[in-house]
Amino acid sequence: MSLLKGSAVCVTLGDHPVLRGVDIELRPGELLGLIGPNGAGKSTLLRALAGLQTLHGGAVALDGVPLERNGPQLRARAMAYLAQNGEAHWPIEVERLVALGRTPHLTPWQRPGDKDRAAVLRALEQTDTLGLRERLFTTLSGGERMRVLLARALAVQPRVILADEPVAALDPAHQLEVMALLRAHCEGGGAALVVLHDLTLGGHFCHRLQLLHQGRALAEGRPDEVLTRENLERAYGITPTTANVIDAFRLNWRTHRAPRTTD
Amino acid sequence: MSRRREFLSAQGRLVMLLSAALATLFLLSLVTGANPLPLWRALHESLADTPTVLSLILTEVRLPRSLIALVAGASLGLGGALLQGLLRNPLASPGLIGSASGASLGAVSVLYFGLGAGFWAALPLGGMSGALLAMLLVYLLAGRDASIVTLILAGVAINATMLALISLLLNLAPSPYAVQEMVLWMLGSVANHGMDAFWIMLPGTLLGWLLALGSGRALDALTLGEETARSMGVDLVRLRWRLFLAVALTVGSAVSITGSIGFVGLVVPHLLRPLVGYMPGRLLPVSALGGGLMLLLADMAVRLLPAGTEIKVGVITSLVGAPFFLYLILKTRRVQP
Amino acid sequence: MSPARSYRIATLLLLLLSAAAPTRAASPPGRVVSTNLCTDQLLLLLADERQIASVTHLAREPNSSFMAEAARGYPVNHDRVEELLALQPDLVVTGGHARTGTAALLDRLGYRVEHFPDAADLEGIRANIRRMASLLGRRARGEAVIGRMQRRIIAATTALPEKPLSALFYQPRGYTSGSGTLHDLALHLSGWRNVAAEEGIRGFAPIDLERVLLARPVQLFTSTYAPGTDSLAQRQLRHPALRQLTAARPMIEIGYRYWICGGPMIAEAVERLARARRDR
Repeated sequence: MSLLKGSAVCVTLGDHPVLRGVDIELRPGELLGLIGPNGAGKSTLLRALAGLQTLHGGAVALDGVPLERNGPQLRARAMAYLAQNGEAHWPIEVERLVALGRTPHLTPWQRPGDKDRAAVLRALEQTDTLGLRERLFTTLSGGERMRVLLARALAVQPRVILADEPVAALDPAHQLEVMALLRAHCEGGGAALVVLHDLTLGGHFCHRLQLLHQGRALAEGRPDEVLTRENLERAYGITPTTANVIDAFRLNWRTHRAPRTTD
Repeated sequence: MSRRREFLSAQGRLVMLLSAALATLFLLSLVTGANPLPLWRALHESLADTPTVLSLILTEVRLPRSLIALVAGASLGLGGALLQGLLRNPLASPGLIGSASGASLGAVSVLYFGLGAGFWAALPLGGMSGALLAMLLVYLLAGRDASIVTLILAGVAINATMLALISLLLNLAPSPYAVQEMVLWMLGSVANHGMDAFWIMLPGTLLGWLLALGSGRALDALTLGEETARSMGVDLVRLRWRLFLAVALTVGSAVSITGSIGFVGLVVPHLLRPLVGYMPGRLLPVSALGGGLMLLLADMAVRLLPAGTEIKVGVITSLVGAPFFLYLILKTRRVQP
Repeated sequence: MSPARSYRIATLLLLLLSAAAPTRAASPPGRVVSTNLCTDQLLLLLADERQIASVTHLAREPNSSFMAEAARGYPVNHDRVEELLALQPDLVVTGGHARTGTAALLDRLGYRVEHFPDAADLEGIRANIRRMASLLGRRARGEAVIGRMQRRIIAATTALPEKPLSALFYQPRGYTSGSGTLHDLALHLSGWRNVAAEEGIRGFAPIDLERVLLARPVQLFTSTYAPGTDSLAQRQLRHPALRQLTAARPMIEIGYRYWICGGPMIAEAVERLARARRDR
């Protein structure tokens, strides 16, 4: 049974067909990496799955129910969307920013309750940002910001996290941390779809990869099934120089930072 | 987490403090003027059957003036906070986004040409539709995710158009006094109104305030951008319409009586934002109270000027606001090269 | 005798004693152009109809001009140089606070331009009438106009009640006419005290509504322009706080055209003010 499923998704932006009938499926407990060259339609597909993009064909279903029939509140509680280059427009405190993740759970007049506070605290702990909670978001470094935004997504307590290039602006150590966090979320019973440019990280952390090329799904499966010489040649125009293709995407380093401690 | 509880009461304390200041200032405003007014005696005489001069001054001159300043100021402060939150732009305000000049145009076309003559709500309705029209024009002109510069330019263009149209209408108006009233519509004044003017502006204002109620959480979510807010269940299209309508109703009602009073909607949210931890939702009530405070204060200053002079309250708010606006632009320029 | 009454009598005596000033004789002009509403009215009042080449468009406007009917028969100008030159005037009469650009230009071009200062008292009114009459070579006509004006004022103001009562001209936009205005003069002549002047207001200036209420004038007068149109200025006259003052004695409208220029029409304004005083 799939958690989130897109069938024959078509999206046209202006006159340009960005997605031309893509099938994609996210299963519970799974970290799915969405890869592909620039302009392949990765972000658009992510937004379509999040219900933020009008479809010109196909359908998206959450738990087998069409997205539009889920109701915005239900959908917002089930899925957290982490935008590319996410940022805050006002210099607000980290804890308040993370608490915004509780928005889908509260009516306009409802005050956050114990459950909400617990969720925020847990998200801060998970992302190792408890020490930052009184800092202003705008004074944080890039890595700290990404972790805080991830904490915001975790505070939703969603089943699905849809993250658009969450590691793009991070140094290697923070990249590992964020990917590990997403993986942990999936192993805790959730699922995540992550747009990635880094094939090594994708190969290392994702249970499955889906390769998009010119608005179509070129390949889908385990990393070693997707990262083949032929696929890479066709999608990216690159050729691995190692004898065994998958060896080119091995993660040959690790972080010295112990996970989940305050730095 | 007791800290969060403390936060809430900090907000509560701020609202209480501002409310108390506003109440005090309102009472002071009733006794402030060119002539001393023994408030207690005037109050006493107001309750008597036959009105006396003192009670008339209290109930028909100072009370409406103070109420109009309070309500119009609150509407402008709230409007500024709503627009700044919605557009995530510290320079958005009823004055800049065209709603004030649009409201003036609407009111001018109703007032001087006898449109809807005899219908009490014609004037505020004209103001509201003008405000909404101008705001939509600016919004369409600037585009959805407009940069600060684009928004200001669109605002300047629409404001200039509105002012030109106001000027044209006033010149064409059958009343020879109309032309002289350009100043009033451009700068705004709360003087010389009776209670009837206050009652006329009240329904639209209250309706607009009601519409804005409960939008705080959505504005908070918008801090993270439109996409993220939408992903958290915020219906942006509805929110946008709702808040535009709220601003049009409140600012339109206020401006149709007072003319466009500048800079209150810009300055007040800005000054108060740090006090609420930059949270757009918390800023709403605080900014409304602050707006009332600022306009009452400015009007009291006007009243204390020597007799025979005729300075509009908008002159005071603009004198305070314009340098502040420049400072803001310089600050934003430093942050966003 | 009360000071107000002695003021009134002194003014009237001055009226009677004033004598015609001697003026030089010259051949009267045949093409006179006026570029100001006040000189328009003097011209229409005093000139032989063949002398008038043009008056301003305002002269035909019944709200501003006392001579609107008489002005109908003459070409109008809008105080523009081209227009005035085409009229080939041998005398240009103008007024207002200062010489306008147009009149100054005509002066430089060698035309004969006569400037009439605004009159804010009877002496000024008489001086202007005499000067215009003399320029037109119609001194007798001038004296007749002055005589009729003075007789009407005297007739209207004799047998007025002894005690002057408080009154105020409350104008659109909350303005009033203080000391040094025609309104002030007319109020004094007709048995009223001008509250605005007593409050220290000079000339045409705004008066605080609260001060009006506190001063409690017995009678409110107003002289609005273009009644029947709407503006915030005019709405000020219907301010609810004024209702108590005007409930017993409604505000009396004495048209704008009586006050815009100092001239013999002041006599009619005085008659109306005196009638209001007598009815009181």
